[in-house]
Amino acid sequence: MLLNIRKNIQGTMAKVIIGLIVATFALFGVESILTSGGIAYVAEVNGEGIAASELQQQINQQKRRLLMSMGDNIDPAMLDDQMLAGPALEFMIQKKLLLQQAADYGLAVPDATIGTIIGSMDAFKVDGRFDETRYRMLLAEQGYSPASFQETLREDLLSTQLRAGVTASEFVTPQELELAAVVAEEQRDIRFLVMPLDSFRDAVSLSEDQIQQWYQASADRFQTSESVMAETIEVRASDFLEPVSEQQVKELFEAEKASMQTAERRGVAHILLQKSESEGEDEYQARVAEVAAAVQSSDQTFAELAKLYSEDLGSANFGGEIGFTSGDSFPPELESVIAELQVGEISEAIVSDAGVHILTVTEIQAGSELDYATARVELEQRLMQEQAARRLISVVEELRDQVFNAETLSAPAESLGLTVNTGVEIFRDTSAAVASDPRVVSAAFSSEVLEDRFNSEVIELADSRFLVLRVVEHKLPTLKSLESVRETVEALATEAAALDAASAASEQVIARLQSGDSIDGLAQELGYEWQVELAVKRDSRTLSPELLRKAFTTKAPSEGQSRFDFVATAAGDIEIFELARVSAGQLQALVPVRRERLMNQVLQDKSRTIDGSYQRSLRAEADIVKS
Amino acid sequence: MAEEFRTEEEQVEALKKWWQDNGKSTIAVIVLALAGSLGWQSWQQRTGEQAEAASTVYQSMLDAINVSGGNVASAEQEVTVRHLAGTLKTDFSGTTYAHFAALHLAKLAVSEEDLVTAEAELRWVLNSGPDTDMQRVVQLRLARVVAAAGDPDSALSMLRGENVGTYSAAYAEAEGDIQQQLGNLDAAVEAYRRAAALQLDSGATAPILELKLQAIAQLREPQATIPELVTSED
Repeated sequence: MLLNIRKNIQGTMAKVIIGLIVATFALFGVESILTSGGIAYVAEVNGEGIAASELQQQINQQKRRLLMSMGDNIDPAMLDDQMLAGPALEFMIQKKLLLQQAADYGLAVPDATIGTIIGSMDAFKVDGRFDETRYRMLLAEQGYSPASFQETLREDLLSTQLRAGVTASEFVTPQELELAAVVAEEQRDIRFLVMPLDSFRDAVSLSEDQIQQWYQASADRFQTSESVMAETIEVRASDFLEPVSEQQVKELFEAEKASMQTAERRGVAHILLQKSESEGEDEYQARVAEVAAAVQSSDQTFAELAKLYSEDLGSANFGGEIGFTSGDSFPPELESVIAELQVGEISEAIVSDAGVHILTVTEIQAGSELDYATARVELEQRLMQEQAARRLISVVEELRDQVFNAETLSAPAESLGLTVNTGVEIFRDTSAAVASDPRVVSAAFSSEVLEDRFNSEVIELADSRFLVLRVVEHKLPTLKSLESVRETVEALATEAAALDAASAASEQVIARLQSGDSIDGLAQELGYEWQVELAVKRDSRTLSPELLRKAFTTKAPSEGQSRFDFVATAAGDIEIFELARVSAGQLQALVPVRRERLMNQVLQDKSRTIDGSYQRSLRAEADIVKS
Repeated sequence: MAEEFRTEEEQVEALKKWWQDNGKSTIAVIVLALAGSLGWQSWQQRTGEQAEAASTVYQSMLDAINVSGGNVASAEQEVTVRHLAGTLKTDFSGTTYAHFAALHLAKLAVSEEDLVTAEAELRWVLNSGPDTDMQRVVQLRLARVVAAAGDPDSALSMLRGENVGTYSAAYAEAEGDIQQQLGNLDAAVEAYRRAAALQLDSGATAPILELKLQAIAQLREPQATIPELVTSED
């Protein structure tokens, strides 16, 4: 084709056409015909792709966040890419929708704003000022380039601006606040007596028949957990630790020596004298000699002398201190003197390009000299571990290939010199006390492994352990024998019977209360405690949570009447209560703090609802294709 | 390509002739296309510059709101917010930033119980051609303000009769509030129920809505205890 063009370009017509093409490029740029071919997309949102690499970056960020908030206690399954991928993609789709909406609305963020924000971020500051090196270093650590970081900031700002416009402009009208106050600040007067369950529990005596009945009726509570019996091969780096030769350790020592040793560091202070412009050479020399003599004979501290004489403005007020050196921080003529000084000793006057220095050493931090004997053990360990890790990887590779093709685990184990563990029980319920790693569980109960009885894939576990398994037997849940669970059954049945008895007793008490007996009189007669709580609010902490909830869901009594009911509490008591009065909350009666808190609650409700509705609306109208 | 001309001279000859016939119109077309393209580009650039300028003003407005902590603005901050929002509404009236500014002015007015101003701001947004989402958000707020200003009947008619898409939970709750204001407790319970069910579908919680429903249902229902509703506490 090119040959054709070359041939035809000779024609004048063709020249005109080429001219038109050139004009197109000049006017609209090369981008106009370049398409973004070759990028793998995981989803398309209104025709705009989300690249697999973007998704991965989001997953990585999520991982970092999880690690930062949970530290080493984190369940490794939570860091599984596949687990994180779904929510991460949802998050990105939602973000893309917001950005598209921001673009539709014509929202924009100027470069200057981004610049100001970056310039004011504390993380990028050194000594209170923006530091380019630190900026680039921190970005690189987080996997950003300056351009991609700015783009991220821009996107964040755009979606913030959008949500600030739509959601943060939500308000609460005075009427709405009043309505909320009526219910949220409602007050109830409550009397209650506490009937401990203990006395009822002691009175329970169960017949064998009752126990049997209870056991039958609650059979689903006494199932064994579903599990599989499996064979596994597990490999870990420590399986491949082998001795290394003295020679290798020595070589490593030579290579690493420099970085493992630390040099001696000396803290240096100085008094600097500089020749002023009005000063002749002789006058300067005389002044130097005078100061040198004064310094040598003075009994003031060096810091005081520096303040007095030094013309180095940066250090004069700070004891003359100019930092630490390991022999290479200052000009050689100074370093040679510094190396000879004892702590507190003051040098002669020494000339450098900057002027004349009078030096002292404030502190000597001994360096660490590393000898082979000390370093040997550590280096040997490191070499062995590195070797083992390499061996591990090649064995795992080999294992992957072999188990994929093999019927059982024994052949691969034999050919690689590994052992097969038999009789390993893996429970489906990952919350059980003897839970296996969730990745192992999901592999063991996958249909290929569980039903087709194929070898699983080689699963990577924490701490560089690898495991492959094959299911030998599937143990379905069965009813445990009564004998093995008798104690639990008896305890549970007793509890249930005691609660029944207590409820019946409560009904009787309530019947008497309703017929006019007073709660305090009854409590005294029956030997229970009773209490009064007037004007209880929904967030009261004086009542048990069960009583509080029940008291607030009970229908308000008519004026002068009472309602009665009872609840069982987590503490193991029955609480019988009388709801005597309900008074509606009053906005005017609220102290400012409570009023503001209520306002924020209502506002939060409304904002959340609008924000959710808005996002779902964007989503509903969008054309989303996941691939 | 089929060659229609034998020699270079013939081709040049034909081209000259064609140019004499069509030259002027060709030049005119090219000039028009160029002008159009340049004009489009500069229009886009101007729009972009305008958006960026509006964005800067809006960002300052948001900063002023945040400094004053959302609701309780110091008098000075409030003056700043009003001034910046006013700038957006007058100098950048065609932009979405102007709509956002008006929404924040409405919020400010509501917090000062100046419902007339709030209503005017919201109507201004509705009259300046918002997109469907914004229209639904603002229409709802307008109805609530109108109800608060003492005209619940008009408010109710504003909430009804339109497709409100994914905003139905918020609309239903507002309807419940207004019905309660009117003393129509049965209608209020029905609206709150609808709102709570829609909330549940969307997976969000709205504790205050649940309390209102619980309380008002207690007034209406004969049985002593109201079954537990959607609970956020569990």
